[in-house]
Amino acid sequence: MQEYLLTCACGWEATGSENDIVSAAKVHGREIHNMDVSHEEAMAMAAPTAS
Amino acid sequence: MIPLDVDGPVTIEVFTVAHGHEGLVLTGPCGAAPWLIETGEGEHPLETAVRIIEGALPGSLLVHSTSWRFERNSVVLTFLAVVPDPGSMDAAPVSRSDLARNAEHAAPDEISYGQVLEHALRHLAWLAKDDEVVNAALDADWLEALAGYVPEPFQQLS
Repeated sequence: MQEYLLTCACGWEATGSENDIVSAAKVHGREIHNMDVSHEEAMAMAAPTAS
Repeated sequence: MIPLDVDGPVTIEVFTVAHGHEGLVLTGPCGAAPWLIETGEGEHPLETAVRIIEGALPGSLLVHSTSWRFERNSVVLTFLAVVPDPGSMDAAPVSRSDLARNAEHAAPDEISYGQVLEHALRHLAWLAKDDEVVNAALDADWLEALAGYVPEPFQQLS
């Protein structure tokens, strides 16, 4: 399964599958930035890692 | 990397500060850097700031607004959050900055976050002398550290 590294502009990072990082980004966005992060917005901050 | 855009008519900016072994340190959920929080439509900035800060930093000692400025097409409302220690969060020593000063009828052209933090700590020095609640929330180490800051009122910075 493809793994991704997601990096928020604030420096916070998450790694994992697409579902993992999108879920983590939604929680981070809501709890730290008071933002609703869409699936597309989360993936726009992600890059695939070497498998 | 496409950054997460914090939008809205008011952007909340938080500087999280602790008193470490060697002086004041900047820390926070976003590391040793300004922490940006979005306000949604109809949301009160102070209520939003307190809710998010207390959720992310449950042991915070103090949260206080310190300044505002206009930047990135938004009003940026700055808060200082005082925590007992950084815990597992990244931290870096706070360094001193000169303040950006207004001209008679104009705000400064540019302002760095170091200058915003400098003013925030000067305002905390003001509050430590002027506000019994703030004074009581800060320990002797904090009051000693703030003694080196010239007290400043809440201000528009740009």
